[in-house]
Amino acid sequence: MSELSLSAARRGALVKSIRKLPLGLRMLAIVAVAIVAIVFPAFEGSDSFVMYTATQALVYGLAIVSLNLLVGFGGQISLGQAGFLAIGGYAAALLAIHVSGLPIPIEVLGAGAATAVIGFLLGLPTGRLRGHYLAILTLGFGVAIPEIALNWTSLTQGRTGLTVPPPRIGNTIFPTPTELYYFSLVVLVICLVAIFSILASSTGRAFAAVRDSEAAATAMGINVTATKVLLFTTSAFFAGVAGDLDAHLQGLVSPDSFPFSLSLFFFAAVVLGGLASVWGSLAGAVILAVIEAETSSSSGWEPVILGGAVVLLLLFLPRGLADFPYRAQQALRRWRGRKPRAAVPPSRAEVS
Amino acid sequence: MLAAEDIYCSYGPIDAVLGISIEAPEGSVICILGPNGAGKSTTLKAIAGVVRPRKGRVTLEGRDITRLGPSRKLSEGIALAPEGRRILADFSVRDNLRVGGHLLNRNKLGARIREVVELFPLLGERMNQPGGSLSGGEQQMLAIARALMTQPTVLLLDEPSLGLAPIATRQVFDAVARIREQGTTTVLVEQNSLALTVADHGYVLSEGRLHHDGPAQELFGDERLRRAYLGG
Repeated sequence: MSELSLSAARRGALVKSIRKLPLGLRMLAIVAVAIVAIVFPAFEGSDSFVMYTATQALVYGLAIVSLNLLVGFGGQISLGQAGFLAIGGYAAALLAIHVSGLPIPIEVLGAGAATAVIGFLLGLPTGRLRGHYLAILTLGFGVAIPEIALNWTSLTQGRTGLTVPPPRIGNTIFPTPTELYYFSLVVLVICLVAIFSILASSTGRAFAAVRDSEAAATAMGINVTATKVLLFTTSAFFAGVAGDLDAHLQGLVSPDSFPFSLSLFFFAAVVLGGLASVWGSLAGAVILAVIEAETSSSSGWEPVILGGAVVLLLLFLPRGLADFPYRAQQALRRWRGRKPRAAVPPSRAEVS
Repeated sequence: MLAAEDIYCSYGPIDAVLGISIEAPEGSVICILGPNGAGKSTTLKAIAGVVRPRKGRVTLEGRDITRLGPSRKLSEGIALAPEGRRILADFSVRDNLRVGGHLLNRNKLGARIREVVELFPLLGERMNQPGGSLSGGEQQMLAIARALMTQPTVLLLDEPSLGLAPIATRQVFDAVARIREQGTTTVLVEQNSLALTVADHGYVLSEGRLHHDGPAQELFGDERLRRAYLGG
């Protein structure tokens, strides 16, 4: 018994189910976000800095969702997610440079696949490593990748980095900020559809079952180690795709493109947005991109502001930004003088 | 028939099971009783494939299945409901059952969930509630129902009455009786001697060894044995 309640408490501290609005309201919110995302460039398209920041938010969105897959949905930990983006970014650059006329979907898949292979290898020890040990392993990975990029000059050009040509389909290239924005948006949406399908499948349930109780998962015939390795591989794939998008956005990949601090920012954004919430992670990405843009002239303030935001959030919205709509609805009900309905926490599968 | 023949298990240097043999004839309910640390759960885990016995054999219908891991054992028809229920608290009851049917073909899942729920009508009323919102007794029912998802021929229950109120304990044992009517062989690990009332045969373990075994009725009637090993 004591073991059971302890594990439940430990889990409760990290993973809380996201309480959600009724389906209708949620659909409305999703449609609203989609419309804003689509028409946004019509208003701001002339401002290339704003478009750059918006595209960066999309790229971070995919990166942070990929990390949340690992942390929130799978109960694992990665402090080196930027390392995956680096591999995806370099893979994209090398493919675009060396294979002329490569269709962009193949390049994106290639970058994702190359990163997935590394994710698979990094995932292999997770059958035995957990908690702090896994944190250290992934931290080491995140620190090592930029160093490898710096020193493997024959492949990466060292500190100079690789120039990434703009994405192209056939003979049309997409170099403008607005075109890059739409390119990233399309890739992000495709990835989100894939991620939602995975989460709703038996594989998604296996991820969460391993997170909640390895003993139960084992008894259900789920291969715990294989599931964790698959989780790492999947997370790395989407992080690699994000790295590809980032490479096109920056037009350059270098050892400085994916610093270790970026991994920590991603982790903070996962917590900020809400564990096991895809929408929360996207909100966290927007905040991260905006903080980064606003502090670009006064470097060094980014971690301070982000850290402060995380502390404030943990105080006032411990379940992350994803819990905000629910809280707001409850507050509205109270304000109208109605008795709030008893909160029935949603099931995990619905959360996905 | 399921049998464990003279099995030995240890966790590192610590011996947990020292030469235990049990037999569960087809369609029977057998009960393994004993105090904490007697080796009950370890014996069950060895049968389920979660723990590898250091020595001895586990056989099903005479075939040696000692070395099979948990998921292979499940395919062979041996399902375990682990100790402490282990309900996925944030999952709905339906999703808990779906996880239980992880090895099933996806298009058989819905039909099997309906069959299992017939056995536990109460779960049917709670299908969309999170597992964590159920009472302890209901969670145990869900844990058993989840283990039944793959239509096992042998059901292993690890202390299903743990932490339950007497009335919920009774309901769990009644459920075992209903499962028995379906022809499922059940191995019940318990500290509560009431389990003997739904069992055919009982084994009493102590310090990793078999202390006593006999027809469940007889063990249940043996005042001295019950007081010494089974706490009432």
